[in-house]
This record gives sequence, C-alpha cells and structure tokens, in this order.
Amino acid sequence: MVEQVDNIINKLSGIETTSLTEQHDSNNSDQKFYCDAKNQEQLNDFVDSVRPKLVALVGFPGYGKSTFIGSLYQLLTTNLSYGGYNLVDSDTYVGFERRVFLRRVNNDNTSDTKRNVLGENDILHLKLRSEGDGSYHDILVSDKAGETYSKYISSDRDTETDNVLINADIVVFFVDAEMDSGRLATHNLLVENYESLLTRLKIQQKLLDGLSYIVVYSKIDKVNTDELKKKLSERKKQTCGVFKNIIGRDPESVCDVNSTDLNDNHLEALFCKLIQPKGSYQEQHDLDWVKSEIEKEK
Amino acid sequence: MTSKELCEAINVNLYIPIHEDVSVQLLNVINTLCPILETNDVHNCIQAFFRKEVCSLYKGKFQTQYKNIYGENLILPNIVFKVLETCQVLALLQSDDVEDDQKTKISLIIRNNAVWRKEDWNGVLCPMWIEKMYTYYPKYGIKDIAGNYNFDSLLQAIVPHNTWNDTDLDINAQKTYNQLRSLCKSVVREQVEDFANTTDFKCLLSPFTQVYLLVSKMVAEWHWKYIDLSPVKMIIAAMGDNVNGCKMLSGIVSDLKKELSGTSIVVPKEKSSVLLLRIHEDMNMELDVRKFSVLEFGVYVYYELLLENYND
Repeated sequence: MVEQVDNIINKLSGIETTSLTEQHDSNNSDQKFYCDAKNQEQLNDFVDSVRPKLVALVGFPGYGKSTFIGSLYQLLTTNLSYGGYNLVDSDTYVGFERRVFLRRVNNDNTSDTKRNVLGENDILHLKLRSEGDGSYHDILVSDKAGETYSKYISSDRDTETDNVLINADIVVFFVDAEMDSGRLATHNLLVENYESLLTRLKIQQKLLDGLSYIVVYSKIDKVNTDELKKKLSERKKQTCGVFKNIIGRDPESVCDVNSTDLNDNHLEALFCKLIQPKGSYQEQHDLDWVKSEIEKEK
Repeated sequence: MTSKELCEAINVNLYIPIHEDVSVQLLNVINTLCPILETNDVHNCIQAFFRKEVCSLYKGKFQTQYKNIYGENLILPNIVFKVLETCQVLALLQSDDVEDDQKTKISLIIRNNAVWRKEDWNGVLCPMWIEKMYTYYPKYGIKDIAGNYNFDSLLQAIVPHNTWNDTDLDINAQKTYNQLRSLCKSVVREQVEDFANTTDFKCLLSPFTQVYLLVSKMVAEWHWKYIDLSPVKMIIAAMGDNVNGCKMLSGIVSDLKKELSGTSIVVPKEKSSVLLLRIHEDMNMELDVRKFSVLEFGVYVYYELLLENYND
C-alpha cells in the first residue's frame, strides 16, 4: 500500500512551465491522473467568468496544511452541508482524495510519507453552493509541500517562480502550535524561518500591500497543559508580531485549530472565513440600464 | 480603446497575465474585424457576453483573422475570448468604419440583451465597457432621429399637408419648429392617455398585456421617429399605479398569450429580440423565473419593438 502511494506521488511530481498560448493545450499532458491537483501554470484554466477566490496555504513541513485541507474535503463530502455550503463539484477530486488518504495513513503510522512531495501539483478546486442564496462559488486552494517554503528561504530563483502568493486573495500562514509553545524547543527556529521567508517574499514583491492573511495555530490539541497554554499565549504575541512587522498590517484573524478533530468548531469557523465571497461588480457599476432609466424619469 | 486598456481588462481576469505585446496584436485583429463583421455576428457576440458564454462563431472568425495576419495559430483560455467579444462590440461602436445607423442598431441590441442578466450582474465581464456601450443609443439613436426627420416630415406626420401649407407659419424659423415640436409632444402624450381610456385597453385583464399593447402603439403609430419619447413617462402617464405590479416572466407570457390569442395583434418574431421571441415561441428559458414589474417589462419591450422598427 505504502509503495503504491509512493508510486502515485512519484508519477505526480514535477512542474512544467508553459507559455500562455501553450498552457490551454497542455492541460492534460502533465497531469497523470484525471482530476488530480493542477499546477500554478494552469490557474487560468479555472477562470470562467469570475476569477475564483484563491487561498494560499503557507507553512513549513509538517505544519498541518494538507491535514487541514484533507479534513475540510472530508467534511464537505461526508456532510450534506458544511458552514452553510454544499460541495457541488471539484476539478481536482483525486488531489483531495490523495490528501485524505495520506492523512489517514499518516495517523495510522503506516507510512513514512508524511506530507506532499516537493514539486507536486498544489492547486485544488472546490465548487460550492451557498444554502442561503443558492449562489455558486469557485474556490482554489494552493497546498504546496512545506519544503517549497523551506527552499524559498535559501533561493531567490525558487521564490521568483511563485505565481500563487501574488495572486492570492487570502494567505493562511500555518504555525505549529506544539512547536511555538516551546514543547518541542524549536520555537526560535519557527520564528526565524518565518522571518526569513516573509522578508524574502517581501523583497521579491510576492506579498502585496494590503494583503489579507490569517495565522492558523494547528495541532492545538498538543498544547494540553496550563503551562504550555500560557507559554503559547505569550509567544503568539511575538510570532504574530513578526507577521505584522514584515507584512505591514494585522492579520484578519488568529485561529486555533485541531484539523484531526472533525468536530472542531474552529475548523468550521475558519472554513467560513476562507470561502467568504469576494466583492461583486454590482457595487461598482450601474449595469441595469432599465432601472437607471426608470429612476431618472421618475 | 487602447491595447493597454485591453491588456488590463484581460489580465484582471487572469492569474498569469498576458504581455502587452500580445494585447497589441489582439486589438489589431479586433480593429481589422470591424468592417468585416455582419450584424448577425455582432448580435451573437452581444448575446454571448451577456450570457457569460464564449461565442464560438466569433472565436473562429477571430482565430482565422489572427492566423491571416500573424501566420500562427492562436490558443487562449476561453475567458480571454469572452473579453475579446465584449471589446469587439465596443470597438464597433467606436469605429469610423461603421455607419451611424448600424451603431444605433448595435446599441439597441445591447440594451435588449441586457435583460439576460436582470437582477444578476455578478460575473459579467468588463462592466466598465458595458456601461460605456449604453451611452451609444442616446448618442446615435437620438441623433439619427433628429438628423433624419426634418420639419416637413414632422409636420406631415402630425398635421395633414394641405392644412399647414396654406397657413402663415414660418416653418424655417427655429422658434416655430420648437413650438411645433412641443405641441407634437403634447399631442402624443394626449394620444397615449386617450388610448388608455379606450375600451380596447381597459377590457384587458392583465396590466402586462396592457403595457404590451401600449408600447406597441407607441412604436407603431405615435411618431416616435420625430419625438424623443420617454417610454417611462408615457407608460406612467397611461397606467398610473398599475405599473408597479410584479410577475415572473413565465406568468407574464402566459397572460399575454391568453389575452392576445383572440385579437389581431401580432407579436414580431425576430432573433434580435429576447422577450418578444419568448412571447412568440413556446420554449422555457432561464429568464422565466425572473420577476418584472409592469413598467420594466414595458420599457424592455418598447426598445425591442424599436429595434424591430429599425430593422424594417
């Protein structure tokens, strides 16, 4: 079984760079499986009329990005409704299924493959329907391997090729709560890594002014004593300060989640924040000419 | 329209942008297509961008033209073609190669097809261009009316020829013309109000049938060519508070068909219409569930009939 998973991962790894005119033709050529995750060069193919909301999950290896997205997918597929939305369709079912599967074998300790492999396709797609007004929303989620961000720290070339962050409507920075609480004695490394990553992204102009971002503390269940909770609370200020100083603004919110607990209410709250629709044209343009003519004459 | 504007309009919808050099080529193709495209092509483009679709016929013509000019095959994401078809229509309205009466027709087709998006403007691309397109009916339509129909036509239409010819009126004086024009407007307004008091009008049970009949008369019989009629004012003058009732399009069509079946009133059947075609044909469409007030329905149908009149 483990071998099979590794085979799938090996087949799926590798990003092809294509030009705008070539990419439409190459949709399926670098995709070894139908409905697998897509790469950033294929982002334009998801645009129908409205550019879908793009959510970038950012974090170093093992920080819980894939676990989070896998859990979300599982909740959407196993519940008729989640956070007031129904899952209608996805162009990347296989990409999601693989993440759910990896999360499961990871929990069972039956696999050494604890995360996505470097260079693996990262773009996942959800088509959701709001139970409130029946409107449809396409959401794209970028879930890159954590090693990608480790490489960004040491290589300008890798950072330059990132097309996701500059286009993201919202960026979610994952922080390993267990690590930040000091339980693993690697708190300083976490802060240093994020400082280096954000500084490099800022220099490369990959973080736009006014960027919306959320800081997510994953694995919050591991912070289970009063002492650790107290330490985490103190260190959160320091860690979030790093984000604020470099990005230049406060996060939209700071959330604690335990992605392995599907009943965690924080998970649903975070999901709702991420899929909140973007502003519409109606607010900015007067397109209903009959309405305008009636108002003018009345 | 500049290549920079086109580039921005395309790139705002893309994650991976196109280069401005590409937009220069795309705009060149658009401009060379302006004198070639027929009314039917333009109609297809307009319908497509309001329905958030790619017009496959236009896409084919664009790709062929691109290959003719640049000798290469052009492959772009569909979203880009949606922007291009919108840009093409605006370019036609701005082009010196297109006659004014053609621009009037195009501007009316735009107004008529906007009904596809009634109360659902989300996801319509290039809204700034669509807003701009709406201004072309007043610019060309009204100008066309004022330019093509002179004193003689106006007076002949309102007053029998032998009546005014024997008077002392100085018909070449602007002041006299303005007075007569004002007089004609009052006459038309009175005609509208009088019609609303006739038994033919009052015996109709549905206000939607009434407003249909009213705007049909306005376009067919009441000299709209000489006077810039405001359908909103006329409908309110004739129907008062009855203009506020709302109904789903399917119900409106059903009312109209029932009441018009025993009369001699014919609903035109033209491809360039949306609501008229729906009344004419027994087909379900996505618009059936949208609600229209009597006034809104009247205004839409007025402009559809106006276009039919231009086409005739």
